[in-house]
Amino acid sequence: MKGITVKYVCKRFFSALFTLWVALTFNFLLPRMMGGDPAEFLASQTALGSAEYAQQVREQFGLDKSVFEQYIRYLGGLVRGDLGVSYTNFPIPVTEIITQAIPWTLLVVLVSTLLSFLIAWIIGTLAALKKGSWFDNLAVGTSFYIQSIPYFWVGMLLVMGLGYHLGWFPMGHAMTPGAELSSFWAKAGNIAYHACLPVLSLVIVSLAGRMIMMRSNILQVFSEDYIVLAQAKGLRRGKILTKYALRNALLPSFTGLMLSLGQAVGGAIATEIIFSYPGIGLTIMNAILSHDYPLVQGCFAIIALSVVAINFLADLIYPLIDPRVSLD
Amino acid sequence: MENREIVLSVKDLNVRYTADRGEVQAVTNVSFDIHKGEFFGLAGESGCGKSTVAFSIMQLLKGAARIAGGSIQFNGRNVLAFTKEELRTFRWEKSSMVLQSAMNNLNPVVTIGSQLMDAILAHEALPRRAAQERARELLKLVNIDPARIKAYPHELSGGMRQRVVIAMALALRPDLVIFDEPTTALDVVVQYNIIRRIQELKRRMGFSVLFITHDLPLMLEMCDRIAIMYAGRMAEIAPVERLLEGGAHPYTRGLLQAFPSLVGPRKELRGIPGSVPDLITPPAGCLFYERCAHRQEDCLLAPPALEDLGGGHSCACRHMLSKEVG
Repeated sequence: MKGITVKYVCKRFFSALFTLWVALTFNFLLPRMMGGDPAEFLASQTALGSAEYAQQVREQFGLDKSVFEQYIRYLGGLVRGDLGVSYTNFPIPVTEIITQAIPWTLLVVLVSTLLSFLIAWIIGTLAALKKGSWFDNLAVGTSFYIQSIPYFWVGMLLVMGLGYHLGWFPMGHAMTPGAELSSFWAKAGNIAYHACLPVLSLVIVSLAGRMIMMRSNILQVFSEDYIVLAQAKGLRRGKILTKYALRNALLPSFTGLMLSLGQAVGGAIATEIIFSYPGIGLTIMNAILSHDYPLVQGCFAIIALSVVAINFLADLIYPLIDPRVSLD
Repeated sequence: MENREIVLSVKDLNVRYTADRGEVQAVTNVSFDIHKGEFFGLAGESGCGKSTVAFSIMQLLKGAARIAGGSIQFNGRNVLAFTKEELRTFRWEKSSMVLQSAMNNLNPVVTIGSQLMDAILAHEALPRRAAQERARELLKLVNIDPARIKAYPHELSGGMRQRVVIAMALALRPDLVIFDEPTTALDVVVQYNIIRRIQELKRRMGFSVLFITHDLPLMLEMCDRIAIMYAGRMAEIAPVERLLEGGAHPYTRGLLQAFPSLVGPRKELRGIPGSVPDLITPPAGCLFYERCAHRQEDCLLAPPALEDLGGGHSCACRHMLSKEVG
């Protein structure tokens, strides 16, 4: 009944593997349903633009083979960790482009997700504790207001206001282009400085919903009988809050946190476009615009992998924090 | 009964709920005493204010509810004047409570042992080991295998969960245990077992009981005295023997006729027609007037006061029924 069994882990693992396979298959099919012939596109980019060139490209990337054969090659490549070669950045392998982009995305999205949850939990709990007070009204009111603002507009306002007009923060890029940063700390500082606006924009838009959710979770738990009984038992306020209220209220949030972390890799396309931030999002955007199949597929494969992996991890952790979850 | 020590004394208790339309007079001028070792029942239909009385004693009213007047004395000390810390120690050390729903009384993500130990450790400076040993003994007390101490609430049946809460209620050997409809969510067989267990523990440990339910036949079997509330007011307080003879208040009489008897002769069951008056704008006279079979004109003057009839029996009615009627 308690503790994680080998059987449970295996079951979860194979279920995750299956999910991943389905996602990767769609990943193979979708770009091919997008329309437009990448070979023609590449050929048109060259001075020649000839049919011979297009045919050559097709042969080079295996596009002349049947779809099934392409699929088998694609899966085989994935197993070996080979995501192919980018069309537009020929001959750079897709894996190399992705490894360069991923740290930037992870930095911005992870920091903003964790910050946003942390702040949301604190404000949500305080608002619930002081339900009906000016603080609660202010927090809830502001949240609904922010909630109704489209994300890209928040991003643009920040670039315009704090970036362009006030000049407090850089308007784009992950580091100052061409800057000579010798020491580690100077480099880290420069990176953090550039990450400020993207992180801020992501925190602002995601905070409201999470805050409201935490607040209502806490309020819901407060109305439970076991809280009344905990009070009747003469427990101290701090004990009731931590062991009987917060713990139970955080459980639904944990699912939300894990889902957000899973989406971290692919979750910031708009951010990266607005702040011209060189992460996965910007890479995907450019790859789609230039019909770069291998790169699009590679990015989506990595995203699918991270979503499935984090969910698998969540499945393993959840029974440990909520004993009611069945392990079968 | 009269000369026994009084544990709890509620005098002229008034509780009001703030609602959109005005104030709900949830409890009005309720008075009663519970003696040491007494099994005291509080009955009445849903919404009559019986749970509100219990929550007032434990000072657990919240939100829209407030105590608008009266006093609650526990062992001669005024509960309403307690400081925060005095209240914290009063709760559970002097008076504990078993709440209505067996399903939600325990935190679902904490083991029952840990929840038992929380109750003990909040009041006594014990090493964890000793507290755990106490928790095991408490489980034995209510016939649960002490090995289950590591179990989570969802791993126990509804009856077992309620027994865990009862064990918890006895953890600090309080003078009074309040049971607020402890068996409503349970089936009849489990209900019977739990009631028997409560009676047995009471006999052994000597605490007083305030038992709240709308199940009058159950009460007649267990209690020493029963108080009957109607629309936030006390209708009648009587020793069980007196109620078995029919009671003096027309409402009591009506309630007694609304339940089938397992042992007595077959009789026609009669409900009480009508419904409870609106407690935001209550009528001027007796609140039971509209539904009363014995009403007379002077009942409309003012709500009748509780009148002491001696022998622990009191009744609030201008035209009390004698034993023969009904």
